[in-house]
Amino acid sequence: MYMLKYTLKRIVAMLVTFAIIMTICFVLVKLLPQPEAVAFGKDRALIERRREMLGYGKPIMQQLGIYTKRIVNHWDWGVGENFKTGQDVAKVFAEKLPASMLLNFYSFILSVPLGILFGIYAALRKNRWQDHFMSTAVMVSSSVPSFVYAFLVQYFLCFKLGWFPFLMKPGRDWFSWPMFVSVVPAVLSLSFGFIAGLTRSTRAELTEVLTNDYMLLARTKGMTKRQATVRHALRNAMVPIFPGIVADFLYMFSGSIIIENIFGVPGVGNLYIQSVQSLDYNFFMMLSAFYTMLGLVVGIVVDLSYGLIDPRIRMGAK
Amino acid sequence: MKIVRPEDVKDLKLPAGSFELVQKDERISDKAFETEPVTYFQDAIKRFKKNNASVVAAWIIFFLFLYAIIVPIASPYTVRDREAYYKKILPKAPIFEKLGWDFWDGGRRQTLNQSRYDYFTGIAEELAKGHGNDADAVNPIMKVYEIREDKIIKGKKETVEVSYDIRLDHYRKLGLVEMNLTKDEYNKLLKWQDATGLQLLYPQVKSSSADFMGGGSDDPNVYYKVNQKGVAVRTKEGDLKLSYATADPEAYTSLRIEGDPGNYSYFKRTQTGMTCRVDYYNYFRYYKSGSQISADLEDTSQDVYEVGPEPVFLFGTNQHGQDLFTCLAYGARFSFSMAVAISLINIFIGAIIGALEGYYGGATDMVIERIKDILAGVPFMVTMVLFREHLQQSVGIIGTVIFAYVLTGWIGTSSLVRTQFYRFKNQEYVLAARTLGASDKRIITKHIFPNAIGTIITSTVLVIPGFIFSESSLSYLGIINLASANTTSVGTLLAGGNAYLQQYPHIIFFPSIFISLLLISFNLFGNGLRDAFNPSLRGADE
Repeated sequence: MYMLKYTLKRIVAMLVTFAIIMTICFVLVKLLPQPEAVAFGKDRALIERRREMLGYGKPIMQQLGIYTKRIVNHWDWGVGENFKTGQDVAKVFAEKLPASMLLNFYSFILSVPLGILFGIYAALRKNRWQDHFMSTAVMVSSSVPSFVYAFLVQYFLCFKLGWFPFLMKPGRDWFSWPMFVSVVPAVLSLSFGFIAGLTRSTRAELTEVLTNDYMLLARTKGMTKRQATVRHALRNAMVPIFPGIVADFLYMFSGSIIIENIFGVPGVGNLYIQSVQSLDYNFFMMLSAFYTMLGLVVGIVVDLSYGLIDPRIRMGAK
Repeated sequence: MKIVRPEDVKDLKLPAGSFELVQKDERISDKAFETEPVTYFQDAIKRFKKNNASVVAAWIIFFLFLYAIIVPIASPYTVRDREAYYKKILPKAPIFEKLGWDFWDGGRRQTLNQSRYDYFTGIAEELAKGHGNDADAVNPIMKVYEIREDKIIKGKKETVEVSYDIRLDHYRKLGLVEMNLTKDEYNKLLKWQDATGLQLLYPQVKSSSADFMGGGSDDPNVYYKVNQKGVAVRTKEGDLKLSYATADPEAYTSLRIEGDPGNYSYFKRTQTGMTCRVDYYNYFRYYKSGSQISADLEDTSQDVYEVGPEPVFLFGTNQHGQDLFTCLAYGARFSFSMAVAISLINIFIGAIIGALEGYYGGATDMVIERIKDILAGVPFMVTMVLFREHLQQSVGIIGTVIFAYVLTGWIGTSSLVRTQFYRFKNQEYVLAARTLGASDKRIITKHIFPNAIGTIITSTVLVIPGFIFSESSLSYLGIINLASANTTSVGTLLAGGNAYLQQYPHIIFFPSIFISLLLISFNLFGNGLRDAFNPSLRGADE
C-alpha cells in the first residue's frame, strides 16, 4: 500500500514536471521565426492555409492549447515541414524506433553479462594483479569517449580486417543475418563504456559484500566459496547494481545519438540530429518530449526498483 | 610481582630536603608544538602525492595545458590558414625523416604502375633542373622497396606489367602546380627567386595535343611525351622527350632551369595576369617567409628577401588544409578555458544556492528543489539547441555555450553543498556560534561552508572531463559550431575526418588520441583528488 501511494505521488510529480518542461520548450520554439513555407506540396498557399488552420498566427498560449488538444485527441504531433516534408511526425518516429532499439538491445545483452562477469572476477581476485589490471582497463575504457571506439572499430574491424560493413544496412529486416553483421560495429562501440561501468560497480559492491560477517558464517556452515558467493554475496550485491541495469534497459529506446550518426543507423538519434539541422520544429518538439519523458521515467523506475528489490528500503520515507 | 600496600610504607621515613620542587617561579602551561601544523590542504596534498597514477595524470594535464597555451601563439599556422594545395598531407616529424625509419616522415608506402611511376620520376627530374635543388631531396619517391614484373597473357599476346613498390613523399608529390598570378605577384616571384636562388617558375608546356596521347595534358607535371597508356616515351639514352613551349628570350630575364637553351617560355598571359608553372614546395617557402617585396621590378631598395621554413606539418593537415597540430591546440585551448570558466561559474552559483537551500530548508528548499527537478529534466541537447537558436545572434557562440552549460551545470554542485549543510547545520558548534550571536551569513560562510570545500574541489575537477566530452560530442554532431568564433573543437576535427578514415586515418587519429588522453588524465587526476580530500570515500568508485 505504501509503495503504491509513493509510486502514484512520483508519477503525478513527473507528469507535472513534464508538462512544465514541454510548455517552456513549446513557447521557446514558437518564439523562433517560423521557417518559410516553400516546397510543401509545391503549393505555398496550401501550407499557409494549413498553418492558419493550426492557429500559427494566434497567441502562443492558445497555440499550446490547440497543440495539446491535437496530441491528446488524435495523437497528432504535426507533420514535417522542412525535412520529411508533409509526413506524419509520429509515424516517422515510430518507423525510426526499431533501429535504435535493435542497436541498444544487442548492446545491452552483450554488456550486462560481460560487465557482471568481469566485475565478479575482479572482486574475487581483489588486490591481485588480475584486479589491478581490470581496474586500470576499466578506468581507461570508461574515460575514452564512445566515438573514439567507433573510429577504432571502423578502422580496424571494418577497414583493415574487412569483417563488417562500415554502415548499418538499410532495410527493415531487423533479425536477418546480414542486418546482424552490419549492426555489430555499432554495438561494439556502444558496449565498451557500458561494460566498463558495470564491471566497476559490480566489483565495488561485491568486494564490500564479501567482507560481511554473514559470508564468514556461510563458509563456516560448510558452503563452498562458490556457493557462498553465488547464493549470498551476489544476491546482496545486486541490490544497488540492478537499478543501473534497469536504467540501461530503458535507455535502450533512446539510442546513442553519436554512434547512430557515425554508423548511419536509421534511428531516433539520427532523426533528432536531422530535425535540429533543418530546424524542423514539429520533429524537434516530439523528439524533445520523447527524450524528456524517457529521462524522467528512468529516474522514477530506478528509485522504485530500489524498493522492489530490497523491501527494507522505503523510498521517500521520513 | 610484589604489590606495595599503604601499610608497607607507613613507617617509611624520608629525609627532608631529598625532594626538590620542579618549578617555583615559572608558570606551567602547555607547550607549543614544535612541529609545523599540518593544514587540511597540506594533508590532502601529501595524500595526493602518494598516488602515483594521479601525479602522472596531473603532469600530463599540465603538459597538455602548456601545449594549448603555447602552440596557438608560437605556431606558424592558424586555424584560419587553409592550405589550398597541401590538403590531407601526412604527418611528418623532421627527426624521423632524417633517421629514415619509414615512420612519421610524411611518406607512405604505395604501389605504382608504370605511368604513375614515370609521373613521379618526371617530377624529380624536372625539379632537379631548378637552381638550388638537390636532386635527391626533391624526389617524391623516397625509397624503392621492390620492382615487380608480372607477365600478363591476353590471348596470344604476352605483355609485362611492371609495378613499383615505393615510399612516396606526400609533401613532394604535388610537384608543380599551375597558378594564376597577377602581374604584381609575378614580379615579386621573379625578384624573390633571383635574390634567393630558389627556382620557383618552370617553363610552360607545349599545349599541342599530339604530345599527350594518354590524357593528363592539363597536369602541369606532365612536360614530356607519353604514349596512350600514359607511360613516358624515352629516347635511346633513357631521357624524357621534353616538350616545352618556347618564346622570345627577352620576355623572361630571371632564373632559368638547367638545360634551357635560353628561349623557353616561363609564363602564359591570361586576361587578368599570367599563368605559371610553380614549384609548390618552394612557393610555400616563399609565401610563408614574410618577405617584403615591392611589385616594381627595377626598385629593390626597400625589399627584404627571406626564405621561409620548409613545409612541415607535425600532425599532418586535414581536408581543409588546416594544420592539425595547431587546430588541436586551438581546440584544446577552447576546451580548457571553457571548462574552467564554466565550472567556476557553476561552483559559484551552485554553492550559493546549495547553501541557501541547505541552511534555510523548509519552503525555500522545496521550491528550489522543484526548480532543479525541472531543469534537470530537460535533455541537454534540447537546451543547447534552443539556446543556440535564441542567443547565437546576439551573444555569439561562445556566450551561448556558456549560458547553456551554466543553466543546468550548477545543479550538481548545489546538491553536494546542500547535503553538507544538512549534515552540519544542527551540530553543536553551529548552535554555539548562534548562541554567541553570529549572524546567518557568518554561520554559513565561516562555520558550515568550509566543510564543503573538499567535496566542491573534487566535484569541480570531475566536472571538467564531463564538459569536454559533452562539448566534443555536440560539436561532432554540428550542434556547436565554432567556425564563427575563429577557433575549432576536437569534435569538429573528428567529424570532418570521419569521411577520410580509410585513406587518411591521421586526421582522426591525432584528435582521438588527444581527447582520450585528456579524459583519462582528468578522470585519474579527479579520482586522486577525491581520495586525497575525502579519505573516507577512498575507492568508493573503483
